[in-house]
Amino acid sequence: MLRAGGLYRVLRPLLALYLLKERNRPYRIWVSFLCRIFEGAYGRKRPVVWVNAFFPVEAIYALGAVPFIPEIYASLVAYFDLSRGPIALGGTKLSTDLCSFFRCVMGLAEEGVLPEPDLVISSSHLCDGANKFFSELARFYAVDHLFLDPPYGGGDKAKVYLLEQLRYVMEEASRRLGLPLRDEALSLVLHRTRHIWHFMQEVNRLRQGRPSPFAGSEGLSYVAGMAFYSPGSEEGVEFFRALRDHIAVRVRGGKGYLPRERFRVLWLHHIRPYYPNSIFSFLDARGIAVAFEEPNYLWWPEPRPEAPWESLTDKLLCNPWAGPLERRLQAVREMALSYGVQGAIHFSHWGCRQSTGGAVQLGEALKEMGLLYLLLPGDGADPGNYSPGQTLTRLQAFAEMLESR
Amino acid sequence: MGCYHWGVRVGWSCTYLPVEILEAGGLLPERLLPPPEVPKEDALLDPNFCPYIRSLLSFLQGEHSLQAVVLMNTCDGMRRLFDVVVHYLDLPAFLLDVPRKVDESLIRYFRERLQDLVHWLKEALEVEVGQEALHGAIVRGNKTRALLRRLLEEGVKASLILGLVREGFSLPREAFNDRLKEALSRAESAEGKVKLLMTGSLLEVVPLVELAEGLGAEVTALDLCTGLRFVQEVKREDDPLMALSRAYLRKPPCARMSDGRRRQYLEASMQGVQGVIYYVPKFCDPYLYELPSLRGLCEEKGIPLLVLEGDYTGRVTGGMRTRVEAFLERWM
Amino acid sequence: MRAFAGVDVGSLCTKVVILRGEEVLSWSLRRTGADPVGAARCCFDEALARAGLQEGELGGVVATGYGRLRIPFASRQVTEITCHARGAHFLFPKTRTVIDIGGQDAKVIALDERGKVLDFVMNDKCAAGTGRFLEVMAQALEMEIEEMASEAATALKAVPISSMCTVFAESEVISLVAEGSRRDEIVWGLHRAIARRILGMAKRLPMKGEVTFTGGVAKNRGMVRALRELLGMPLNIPHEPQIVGALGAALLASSTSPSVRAAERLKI
Repeated sequence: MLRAGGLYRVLRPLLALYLLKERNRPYRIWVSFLCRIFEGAYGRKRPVVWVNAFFPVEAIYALGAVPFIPEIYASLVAYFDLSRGPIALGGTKLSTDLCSFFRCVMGLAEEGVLPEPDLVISSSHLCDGANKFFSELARFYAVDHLFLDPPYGGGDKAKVYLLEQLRYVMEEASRRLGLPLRDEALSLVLHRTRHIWHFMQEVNRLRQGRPSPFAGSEGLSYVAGMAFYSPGSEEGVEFFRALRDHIAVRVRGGKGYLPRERFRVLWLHHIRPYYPNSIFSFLDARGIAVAFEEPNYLWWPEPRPEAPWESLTDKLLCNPWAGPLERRLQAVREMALSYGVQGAIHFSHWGCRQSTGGAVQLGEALKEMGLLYLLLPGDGADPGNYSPGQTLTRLQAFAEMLESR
Repeated sequence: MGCYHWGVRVGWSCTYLPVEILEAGGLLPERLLPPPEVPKEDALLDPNFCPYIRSLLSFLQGEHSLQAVVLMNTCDGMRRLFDVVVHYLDLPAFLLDVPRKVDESLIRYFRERLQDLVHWLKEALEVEVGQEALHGAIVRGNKTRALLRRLLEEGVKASLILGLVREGFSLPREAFNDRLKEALSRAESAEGKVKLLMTGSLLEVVPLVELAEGLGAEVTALDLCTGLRFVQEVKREDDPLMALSRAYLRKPPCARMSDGRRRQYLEASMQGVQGVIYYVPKFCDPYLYELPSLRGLCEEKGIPLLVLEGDYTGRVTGGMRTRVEAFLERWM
Repeated sequence: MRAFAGVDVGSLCTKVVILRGEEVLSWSLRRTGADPVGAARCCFDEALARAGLQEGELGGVVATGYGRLRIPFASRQVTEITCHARGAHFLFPKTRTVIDIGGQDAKVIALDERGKVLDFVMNDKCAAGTGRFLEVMAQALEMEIEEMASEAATALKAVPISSMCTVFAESEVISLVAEGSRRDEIVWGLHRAIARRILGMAKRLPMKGEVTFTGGVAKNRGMVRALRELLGMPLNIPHEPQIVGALGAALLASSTSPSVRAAERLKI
């Protein structure tokens, strides 16, 4: 039943009504957006392209296909505390050494719950898993796999190669799906993305306010979700505009998201545990505001609709989490200064070697700036790998460190 | 021939590096295969890193005779290790980016990165790598590869070949070629009832291969990082770096390569093979992500697969022996 | 002057310390078992009895350890990280690093001159580098931990243990025994392997000043020797290394008591 496109068509207005009182407008747009995506993905009136989170989804919108990002689906499944089953099933194929989001997707694929792809496209950043796992998925669904392999580091030479790759991959996609890739479509998509970029900039600036007007835990869920999924779409523009408005109102009224903000911290890594957990309620209770989070750092330059391919290539190449750690260090230092934080929490997701491998170096750079730092090991999608006692001990010790200063 | 900087040892981590470049500079390349050890400053990397990378960090933190290292962007772990080496250790290091797929455009890209390596050798070690020297190194490298090809063609025991390859990682080229010639003259052929493919990212492989041979099997196909993926000739081109780029990228791919060639290669390796042994250390993402694909291929072909998980030591434990014995029993 | 209590409910053992001013009046220790609240209560009563006090006479109780959230008679709860720092600093005021190795976890804590925590590194996921590692090996070698400790304390050579993971290390030890390696050398190698793990963690902390070793494993002479040698520094070992957390908790109870704070303000 979950696989019927029609379900989401019906669900959308119902949820909109239901959420009217409960949640803020950006959140409602997120839900509506997801409904539309799932309606498209399951309804199959247009080709469905699976991409990984760091692939520029703009290109898929320009093609007129429906993008599906399995990692985001997995985080939703975890959010509804339904991930244990798929993770266990996925674990029969993929080692438990590997990322639980990918194991979850594997299990969901085996269960036949996911909307089948017509094509799989991925980009090799940020992690080894990305291309290898997506090629597994393509094989599982017996469809082609195209991928980008952005050069390490950056520079003009790298740009030439990546541009070539991007054009090639999208032209192939266009050919195999029978969807034309029109310049006007690309231009429109990039125009929307540019609007989104400007709103993101404003949102990020507004969040520098004290007290912190917007919860980091929400930034880590639907805001990051939209940042990955919506660039190039109309809802994306609506969402970030609404988010900007929502936060602007709070800042004007001097309203923080906590009743009493005593400390401000950064959350490092793109994800948080999505299943029910006590991390954020603990931080809230101690007056520790998660003022900003890593995934929403605006690392890409302003989109240029007049040069869409170059623009997307630039976005790919600027990714601070690809290439040398120095880039990530720079981004995090900037965040620490902009948001006036006293500390940072690095969420070390199990199996995520690209991020945890740099956590200590990152910490030292932040400690040199006078911040307190906490390494918080955990698992973003697997509640079976979440130890509340151990997690709370670390968080509380960190709170005690902040309080004793 | 240029002057030899004997004593200037440069460590390297992966066979996608055309070692000929180091040799052409008169350097002594040494493959990084350190003893297994928990690093003195283990906290620099996450403990959930593969034991090879952790041992490598330990080695580089300690007393060693390397003047520099060339690491490759082969996996997330190596990428982070490079960051640690650059930031914390007083050791010149270069990270060579290797594409994850192969086409003409990327062969050109890799060639430019090889050029960057040449520049870096000049800056960091004051070493010149000239065209002629490169051509010469390629010719000597081709000799090695031809000798290895012959060893394979003569059906020499895998454990012997692997042992030789292992030696070669720290011998100067000429000495290694002599060693191979000598080995050819006294070679022991393989003879076993069961033909196996051994695959995985285990680096210290000889003990396991010897175990299998001792139990009556013959390892006819080796898909191993310290094995024999590359025995083809490097065809001469005017631009030796281009020749190297083309030959090295086009060699049989390891699991880290994500394009269709990898699967084709695995399939080809399974020709005539009766069983597959797959041995992967903990936390090795590229090989672990490949396991479902490998399983699928084995099932398709009706070839039994043995999955072994281990650490970096390559030591054959009691448990491993039991598993291998039980696996081979179906044919004995 | 009022007395204060600290209750450290660990996963294996529960400890209580009763303190008045700077004097430890009594302490008590028992296994936590399956009922942390019950164990805490018993331990607490025992300590009170030994001190000759009633519960009502106490100025406050702070709970710490894994079971700290469930102790009904505690007025506050503080993590064992903060408590170990405080307790070790009280015993050895020049302490700036605490190494705590318990049955299930290991931590290294960096503290300042006031005994406040600056930074910490914790391992509670991996058995290697904790008391558990020793238990697994004791089983594999069919020895008692005390036996292993004394052999390790006097062995002349160590067989290096290269496995990173407890499961593989166990396998390695069995192979070594089968190959005929000397038992005391294996045991000494195991202790050094743990020390190496701990130091691998610790190296990222400042490591200035004195180092104090706490936790049940600090009673193991083999571990003390291994840490001393690998650290290349002297180690402070408390007389009762297991109660340092509870002591720290008691100190925190007393220092944050309003009457104590008032008294301190008057002094100034």
